[in-house]
Amino acid sequence: MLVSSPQMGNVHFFLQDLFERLGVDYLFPPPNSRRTVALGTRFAPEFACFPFKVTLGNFIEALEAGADTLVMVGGIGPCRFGYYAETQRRILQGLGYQFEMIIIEPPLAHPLLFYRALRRLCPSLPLFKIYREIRASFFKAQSFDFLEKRALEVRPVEMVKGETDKVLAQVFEELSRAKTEEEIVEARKKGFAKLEAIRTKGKPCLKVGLIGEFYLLLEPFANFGLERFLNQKGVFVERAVYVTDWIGPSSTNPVQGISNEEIARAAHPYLSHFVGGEGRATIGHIVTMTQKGFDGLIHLTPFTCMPELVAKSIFPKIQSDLDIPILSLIIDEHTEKTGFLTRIEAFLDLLAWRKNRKITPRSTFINWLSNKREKKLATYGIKRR
Amino acid sequence: MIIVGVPRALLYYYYFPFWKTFLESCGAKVILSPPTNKRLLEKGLELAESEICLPVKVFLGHVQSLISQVDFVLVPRVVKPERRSYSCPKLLGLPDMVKTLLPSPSALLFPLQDRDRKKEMAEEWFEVARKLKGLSFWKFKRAYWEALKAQKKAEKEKKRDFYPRNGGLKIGLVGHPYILNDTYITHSLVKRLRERGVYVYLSEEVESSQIRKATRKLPKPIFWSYEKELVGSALFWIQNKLIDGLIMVYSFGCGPDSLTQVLLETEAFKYGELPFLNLVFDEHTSEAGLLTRLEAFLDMLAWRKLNAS
Amino acid sequence: MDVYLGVDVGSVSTNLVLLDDEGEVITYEYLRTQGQPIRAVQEGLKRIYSRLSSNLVVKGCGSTGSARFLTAAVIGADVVKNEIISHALAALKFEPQVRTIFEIGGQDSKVTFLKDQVVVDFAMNTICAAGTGSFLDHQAARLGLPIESFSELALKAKKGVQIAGRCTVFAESDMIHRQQTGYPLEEIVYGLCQALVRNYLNNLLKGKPVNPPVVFQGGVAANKGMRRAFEEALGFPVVVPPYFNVMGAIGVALLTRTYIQKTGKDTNFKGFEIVDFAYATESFYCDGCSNNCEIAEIRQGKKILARWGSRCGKWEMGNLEESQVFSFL
Repeated sequence: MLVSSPQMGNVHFFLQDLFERLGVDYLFPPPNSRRTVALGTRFAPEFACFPFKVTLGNFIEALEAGADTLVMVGGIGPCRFGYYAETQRRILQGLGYQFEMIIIEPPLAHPLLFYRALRRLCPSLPLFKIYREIRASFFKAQSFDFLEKRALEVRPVEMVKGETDKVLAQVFEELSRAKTEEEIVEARKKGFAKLEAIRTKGKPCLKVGLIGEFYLLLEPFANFGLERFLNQKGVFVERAVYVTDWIGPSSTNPVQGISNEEIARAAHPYLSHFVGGEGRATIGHIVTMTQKGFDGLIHLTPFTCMPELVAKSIFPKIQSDLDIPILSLIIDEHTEKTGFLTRIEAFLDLLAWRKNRKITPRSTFINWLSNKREKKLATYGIKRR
Repeated sequence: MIIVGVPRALLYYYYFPFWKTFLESCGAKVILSPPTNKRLLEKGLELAESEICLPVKVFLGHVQSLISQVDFVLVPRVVKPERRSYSCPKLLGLPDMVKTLLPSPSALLFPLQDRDRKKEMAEEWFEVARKLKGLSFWKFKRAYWEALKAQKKAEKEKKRDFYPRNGGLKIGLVGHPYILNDTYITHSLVKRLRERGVYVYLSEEVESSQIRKATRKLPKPIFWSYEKELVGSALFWIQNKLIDGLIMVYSFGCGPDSLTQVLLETEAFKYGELPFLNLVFDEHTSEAGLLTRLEAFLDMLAWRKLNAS
Repeated sequence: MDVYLGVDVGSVSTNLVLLDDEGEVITYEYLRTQGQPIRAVQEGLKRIYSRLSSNLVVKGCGSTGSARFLTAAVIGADVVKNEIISHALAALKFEPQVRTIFEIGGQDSKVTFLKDQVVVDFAMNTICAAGTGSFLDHQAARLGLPIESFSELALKAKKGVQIAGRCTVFAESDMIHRQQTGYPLEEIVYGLCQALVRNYLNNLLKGKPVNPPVVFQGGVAANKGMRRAFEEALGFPVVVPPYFNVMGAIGVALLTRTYIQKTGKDTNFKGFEIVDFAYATESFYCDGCSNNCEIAEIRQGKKILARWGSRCGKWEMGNLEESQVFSFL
């Protein structure tokens, strides 16, 4: 049995470690590429959302590379994500691949299915031992997240460009070698110290929050390395979701720092019910991040994503109440890197400008944007009517 | 007298008997928005987020048309129409979306409908009764009970267990009632099929016991209640060989349907390569394009049938 | 000589075909519709009439394409059939074992699957024109090239440039970018063909297996670059039939021939005189309800031939139903 899974941010650190502990052969999925997206788009239904297409592409590439068992997370809705695995299984079977799909259902909602999935993966291990290994592995995964979060704080103010990335890679390498709990704690401590030791200067010029759909936030390929891009421009970034917060059972979100209840409370005046996915969290994060004094927010959503669309419908009201700039970007297989980053750059200019002026006359901003647009059009020789 | 407006869109097609009975026993007058027309749709397009699905856009148009004539607009929040299965994220957030559009939020009634939280649901409907200044607690209880009964009765009346064995073409039409019954956005699809002598099976006519039986074998339960009904009814027709072809109708941007489409397609293929047509509606769907697809599909079915006999 | 006439009026082109008693093509005519379907039909009939001796006896005529009902009212068609079935019938004539038909027209594209000479499945482009001929037309205009030159240029290219061609507008900006980075013209042209093929395969096929023989028809099949791109993408040869651009008309003429021969009915054909008739199309808004439907009507002199466009059906006139002729196949 050679197991593989989709690619999403740091999740492979967790899975690799976990499967090693459980004694299962794990095939690293080939990294996301244009080909992954092309394959996914080709075989996915036309109106499926972007993460569906990329993960389908991951599966195809993993099967091509020799995997015979695919692991995917299930769910109980109402977001489409919960039904990904089953649909992808059908599509892949239709394409004639021989494989087994193991769907990890949430243990509380489907205890039996969850148990069966575990038993398929490691038939002989006693249950308490599996539990112990998952816990240890989860602890390690959390350490990755904490370190990554710390790097987000250091990177915008690093003195030598690229130093943080170098250090972070080294730290991750050391941490992934750690096995026992003591080793992990040790590696983590060392990692923090190394990140602390990076020479910094000044303060970040802007504080920007990243909110929206979790796959797009977590997978750098899908968001065109947005975090790094912002950090390199000297912008402090806070991300709304981390891998272990997302897979973890607790609602306190230890890495992110805001519990689900707090988010729900913050969102309540605008969205008083959960709507699946990260819909309510998006609204909640807008409120809390505004209170924390963020300069602006970037909202990422896949095309036709249901929960994010509900949230997005509420943006006009929330923006007029809180007076916070939000750039909402839709990502799908057609999104182009240059166009995407151009919008981000313009947004950063706007934020910086707004911050320096202290006042934010909306009309001036609109004028400025339309000037910029006209200039750009003029370079193509197009005049506006 | 207090006037309550009910938009003739989305969940109206599921729960109107319940709402009407309840509101009227609260002493309110219920008025409906007119059937979807061009003006309503245009209004909806103006109000809604551009990528959202057509039924929601239509719904917003209906709400807009009611606001000026009524005291309250009823937009219930339907969370779980059945136990352990949701409606859809957009329906969960519908009241919140409408709220951002309305000038005064007090003009909106959005009681909960949730089979897993019956007590909360009754409380919220009691709140509605209180707002309409109608009822004491006991009277409310009776009204609520009668409304639920009326709903059950209406649902039962829709069920049919007549399956013509021979004769012309028989087609299973899979689609949400709020799309199929809206003759404006579907260009009277159902009527057109019937005019051509096709016997049309509709999902809402299938007994829920049959649906449960048909979906039991699915490797993973479907967690959207309305989709479960659609898929279950389609599987029922397919498994019992009642139909010559399957048409799936959904609106552009419908999340659940975009995935269940794969399910139905593979199942239809498994059972004797049953012809499958997928019709996607949005505000730009033209009548000509629809007709061409439909005619070609019917021709294909007739041709296949001829070849088989 | 007994002949059968098939007329296919689409949004971009209008095609007429004459078949003889055996179902062989006598002559055909391919014109641009240019937004005037009736004029195009009249012009086509005139050309055919002037080319052939006058001892033709039209035994039957049929219409297809998006303007099939309008055309039927003008020529008096015996058979009205949608273009998917018409194309399939024509393809079966030239390639009896055909399993897959690719058809790319100006505004729409289709794929049809057959098994044992019966259509078993088909798909049309849903909401996007990115997989249709108008995509290439747009880009040709943007490059300042006639679309006819694409064929030659695309065949010259060693390889195609990767162009993200999902949507006409995006593809345009991407193409301009490639131009600015100095790629040779023929590689850009071939890249556009590949983009169209990719779109077509992505949007319509969705992983459904493509079984050979594959017939590629429709106006876009004139572009040899497209054929090359299809063959490269699929990995096996693709057949372009001899009358690839008038296949719809051939199909409906074949159907008419079968229908007339089997029923022995007389044709409703109004004769070649109609080329001189004056037709007037007019439209008005009905104010019966808030839909304000636009009603279109076509008149010959004072006589109303057909009327359509109302949602409620109160204005509908003339034969707007397709012929049920399947028992004659």
